[in-house]
Amino acid sequence: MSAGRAVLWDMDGTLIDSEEFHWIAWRDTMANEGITITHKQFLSSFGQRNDSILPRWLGASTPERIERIANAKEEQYRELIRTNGISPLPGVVHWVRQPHAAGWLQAIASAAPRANIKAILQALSPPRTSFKAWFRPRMYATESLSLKCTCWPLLVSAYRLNDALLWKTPSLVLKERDALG
Amino acid sequence: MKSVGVNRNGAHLPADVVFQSLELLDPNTFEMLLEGGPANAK
Repeated sequence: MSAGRAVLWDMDGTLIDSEEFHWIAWRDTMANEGITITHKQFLSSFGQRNDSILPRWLGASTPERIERIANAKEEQYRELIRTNGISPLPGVVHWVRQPHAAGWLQAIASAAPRANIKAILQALSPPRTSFKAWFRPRMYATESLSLKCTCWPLLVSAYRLNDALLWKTPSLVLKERDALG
Repeated sequence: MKSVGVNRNGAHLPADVVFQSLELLDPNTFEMLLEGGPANAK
Protein backbone atom coordinates (compact mmCIF):
# COMPACT_ATOMS: atom_id res chain seq x y z
CA MET A 1 0.00 0.00 0.00
CA SER A 2 1.16 3.52 -0.76
CA ALA A 3 1.63 6.23 1.83
CA GLY A 4 -0.30 9.49 1.68
CA ARG A 5 -3.63 7.80 1.51
CA ALA A 6 -6.44 7.45 3.93
CA VAL A 7 -9.34 5.31 4.98
CA LEU A 8 -12.36 6.86 6.64
CA TRP A 9 -14.38 4.27 8.47
CA ASP A 10 -17.97 4.31 9.41
CA MET A 11 -18.45 2.72 12.81
CA ASP A 12 -21.81 1.08 13.47
CA GLY A 13 -22.35 -1.80 11.09
CA THR A 14 -18.85 -1.54 9.66
CA LEU A 15 -16.36 -1.79 12.52
CA ILE A 16 -18.80 -3.22 15.04
CA ASP A 17 -22.31 -4.57 15.30
CA SER A 18 -23.85 -2.53 18.07
CA GLU A 19 -27.50 -3.09 17.22
CA GLU A 20 -28.28 -5.18 20.30
CA PHE A 21 -26.80 -2.64 22.71
CA HIS A 22 -28.72 0.19 21.05
CA TRP A 23 -31.91 -1.85 21.35
CA ILE A 24 -31.41 -2.56 25.05
CA ALA A 25 -30.51 1.04 25.78
CA TRP A 26 -33.56 2.41 23.96
CA ARG A 27 -35.92 -0.18 25.44
CA ASP A 28 -34.85 0.44 29.02
CA THR A 29 -34.56 4.20 28.73
CA MET A 30 -38.03 4.53 27.27
CA ALA A 31 -39.41 2.12 29.88
CA ASN A 32 -38.10 4.50 32.52
CA GLU A 33 -40.23 7.15 30.83
CA GLY A 34 -43.26 4.88 30.96
CA ILE A 35 -43.21 4.16 27.23
CA THR A 36 -42.95 0.67 25.75
CA ILE A 37 -40.93 0.43 22.55
CA THR A 38 -41.20 -2.73 20.46
CA HIS A 39 -38.25 -4.26 18.71
CA LYS A 40 -39.99 -3.56 15.42
CA GLN A 41 -40.23 0.13 16.30
CA PHE A 42 -36.57 0.13 17.22
CA LEU A 43 -35.51 -1.50 13.97
CA SER A 44 -37.46 1.00 11.90
CA SER A 45 -35.58 3.82 13.60
CA PHE A 46 -32.11 2.29 13.74
CA GLY A 47 -29.47 4.51 12.18
CA GLN A 48 -31.49 7.69 12.57
CA ARG A 49 -30.62 10.58 14.81
CA ASN A 50 -32.05 10.72 18.31
CA ASP A 51 -33.74 14.04 17.68
CA SER A 52 -35.59 12.42 14.80
CA ILE A 53 -36.51 9.24 16.65
CA LEU A 54 -37.75 10.64 19.94
CA PRO A 55 -40.44 13.04 18.72
CA ARG A 56 -42.14 10.12 17.00
CA TRP A 57 -42.05 8.00 20.14
CA LEU A 58 -42.91 10.76 22.58
CA GLY A 59 -45.46 12.72 20.64
CA ALA A 60 -45.67 16.30 21.86
CA SER A 61 -42.60 17.02 23.95
CA THR A 62 -40.08 19.68 24.79
CA PRO A 63 -36.54 19.95 23.42
CA GLU A 64 -35.28 19.69 26.98
CA ARG A 65 -37.02 16.38 27.55
CA ILE A 66 -35.81 15.01 24.22
CA GLU A 67 -32.24 15.97 25.07
CA ARG A 68 -32.49 14.48 28.55
CA ILE A 69 -33.83 11.15 27.29
CA ALA A 70 -31.31 11.02 24.44
CA ASN A 71 -28.46 11.64 26.85
CA ALA A 72 -29.75 8.93 29.19
CA LYS A 73 -30.00 6.44 26.34
CA GLU A 74 -26.48 7.17 25.11
CA GLU A 75 -25.05 6.90 28.63
CA GLN A 76 -26.70 3.51 29.08
CA TYR A 77 -25.40 2.43 25.67
CA ARG A 78 -21.84 3.36 26.69
CA GLU A 79 -22.26 1.53 29.99
CA LEU A 80 -23.32 -1.59 28.09
CA ILE A 81 -20.21 -1.28 25.94
CA ARG A 82 -17.98 -0.82 28.98
CA THR A 83 -19.61 -3.66 30.91
CA ASN A 84 -19.99 -6.25 28.18
CA GLY A 85 -17.23 -5.23 25.81
CA ILE A 86 -17.64 -5.39 22.07
CA SER A 87 -15.77 -7.20 19.35
CA PRO A 88 -14.84 -5.95 15.91
CA LEU A 89 -16.76 -7.53 13.07
CA PRO A 90 -15.01 -10.34 11.19
CA GLY A 91 -12.16 -9.06 9.05
CA VAL A 92 -12.03 -5.63 10.67
CA VAL A 93 -8.77 -6.10 12.57
CA HIS A 94 -6.93 -7.18 9.45
CA TRP A 95 -8.29 -4.38 7.29
CA VAL A 96 -7.61 -1.68 9.87
CA ARG A 97 -4.15 -2.94 10.77
CA GLN A 98 -2.96 -3.21 7.18
CA PRO A 99 -3.41 0.46 6.18
CA HIS A 100 -2.00 1.59 9.51
CA ALA A 101 1.13 -0.48 8.94
CA ALA A 102 1.47 1.09 5.49
CA GLY A 103 1.33 4.62 6.91
CA TRP A 104 -2.13 5.51 5.77
CA LEU A 105 -4.21 7.94 7.82
CA GLN A 106 -7.30 6.39 9.31
CA ALA A 107 -10.26 8.06 10.94
CA ILE A 108 -13.73 7.27 12.06
CA ALA A 109 -16.45 9.25 10.33
CA SER A 110 -19.61 8.80 12.31
CA ALA A 111 -22.47 10.94 13.52
CA ALA A 112 -22.44 9.04 16.80
CA PRO A 113 -21.64 11.11 19.90
CA ARG A 114 -17.92 11.47 20.38
CA ALA A 115 -18.17 9.83 23.80
CA ASN A 116 -19.62 6.74 22.11
CA ILE A 117 -16.75 6.58 19.64
CA LYS A 118 -14.22 6.87 22.44
CA ALA A 119 -15.96 4.20 24.51
CA ILE A 120 -16.03 1.82 21.57
CA LEU A 121 -12.38 2.37 20.66
CA GLN A 122 -11.45 1.81 24.28
CA ALA A 123 -13.49 -1.38 24.44
CA LEU A 124 -11.99 -2.65 21.22
CA SER A 125 -8.40 -1.98 22.21
CA PRO A 126 -7.25 -4.04 25.17
CA PRO A 127 -5.92 -6.58 25.53
CA ARG A 128 -5.86 -8.19 22.12
CA THR A 129 -5.15 -5.32 19.79
CA SER A 130 -3.89 -1.76 19.67
CA PHE A 131 -7.06 -0.82 17.87
CA LYS A 132 -7.27 2.70 19.25
CA ALA A 133 -3.74 3.51 18.11
CA TRP A 134 -4.59 2.67 14.53
CA PHE A 135 -6.83 5.73 14.21
CA ARG A 136 -5.82 9.35 14.06
CA PRO A 137 -6.47 10.90 17.48
CA ARG A 138 -9.35 13.36 17.66
CA MET A 139 -10.18 12.79 14.02
CA TYR A 140 -13.84 12.14 14.45
CA ALA A 141 -16.99 13.59 13.08
CA THR A 142 -19.28 14.50 15.90
CA GLU A 143 -22.91 14.90 16.67
CA SER A 144 -22.63 18.57 15.87
CA LEU A 145 -22.67 17.67 12.21
CA SER A 146 -26.20 17.18 11.03
CA LEU A 147 -25.50 14.64 8.31
CA LYS A 148 -22.93 11.94 8.24
CA CYS A 149 -21.93 12.69 4.67
CA THR A 150 -21.11 16.31 5.47
CA CYS A 151 -18.24 15.31 7.73
CA TRP A 152 -16.19 13.57 5.11
CA PRO A 153 -15.18 16.63 3.08
CA LEU A 154 -14.15 18.33 6.31
CA LEU A 155 -11.98 15.43 7.33
CA VAL A 156 -10.46 15.09 3.92
CA SER A 157 -9.67 18.76 3.46
CA ALA A 158 -8.35 19.09 7.00
CA TYR A 159 -5.71 16.50 6.39
CA ARG A 160 -5.13 17.29 2.71
CA LEU A 161 -5.34 13.70 1.76
CA ASN A 162 -4.30 12.56 -1.66
CA ASP A 163 -6.93 9.94 -1.96
CA ALA A 164 -9.26 7.99 0.23
CA LEU A 165 -11.43 5.02 0.53
CA LEU A 166 -14.71 5.34 2.30
CA TRP A 167 -16.49 2.57 4.05
CA LYS A 168 -20.11 3.13 4.60
CA THR A 169 -23.30 1.56 5.76
CA PRO A 170 -26.60 1.81 3.88
CA SER A 171 -27.50 4.95 5.77
CA LEU A 172 -24.73 6.98 4.24
CA VAL A 173 -24.69 8.90 1.00
CA LEU A 174 -21.36 9.37 -0.66
CA LYS A 175 -20.32 12.73 -2.01
CA GLU A 176 -18.29 12.45 -5.15
CA ARG A 177 -14.72 13.64 -5.08
CA ASP A 178 -15.46 16.56 -7.41
CA ALA A 179 -18.11 17.78 -5.00
CA LEU A 180 -15.68 17.89 -2.12
CA GLY A 181 -13.92 20.97 -3.40
CA MET B 1 -12.46 9.15 -3.86
CA LYS B 2 -13.41 5.52 -3.88
CA SER B 3 -15.83 3.73 -1.66
CA VAL B 4 -16.35 0.27 -0.31
CA GLY B 5 -19.75 -0.70 1.00
CA VAL B 6 -20.16 -3.28 3.74
CA ASN B 7 -23.64 -4.64 3.51
CA ARG B 8 -24.85 -7.71 5.30
CA ASN B 9 -28.56 -7.34 4.61
CA GLY B 10 -28.68 -7.03 0.84
CA ALA B 11 -29.74 -3.38 0.71
CA HIS B 12 -28.41 -1.29 -2.17
CA LEU B 13 -25.29 0.76 -1.54
CA PRO B 14 -23.98 3.43 -3.89
CA ALA B 15 -20.40 2.26 -3.54
CA ASP B 16 -17.71 1.31 -6.03
CA VAL B 17 -17.75 -2.20 -4.65
CA VAL B 18 -19.99 -3.84 -2.09
CA PHE B 19 -19.07 -6.78 0.08
CA GLN B 20 -21.16 -8.70 2.56
CA SER B 21 -18.28 -8.87 5.01
CA LEU B 22 -14.77 -7.51 5.31
CA GLU B 23 -13.66 -11.12 5.47
CA LEU B 24 -14.59 -11.46 1.81
CA LEU B 25 -12.42 -8.64 0.49
CA ASP B 26 -9.68 -9.62 -1.89
CA PRO B 27 -6.26 -8.81 -0.41
CA ASN B 28 -5.57 -6.15 -3.03
CA THR B 29 -8.96 -4.44 -2.93
CA PHE B 30 -7.65 -1.15 -1.62
CA GLU B 31 -4.84 -0.88 -4.13
CA MET B 32 -6.99 -1.90 -7.06
CA LEU B 33 -9.61 0.69 -6.26
CA LEU B 34 -7.14 3.51 -5.82
CA GLU B 35 -5.24 2.56 -8.95
CA GLY B 36 -8.46 2.48 -10.94
CA GLY B 37 -8.52 -1.24 -11.48
CA PRO B 38 -11.43 -3.60 -11.05
CA ALA B 39 -12.40 -4.94 -7.67
CA ASN B 40 -14.91 -7.71 -7.64
CA ALA B 41 -17.71 -7.54 -5.15
CA LYS B 42 -18.71 -10.63 -3.22
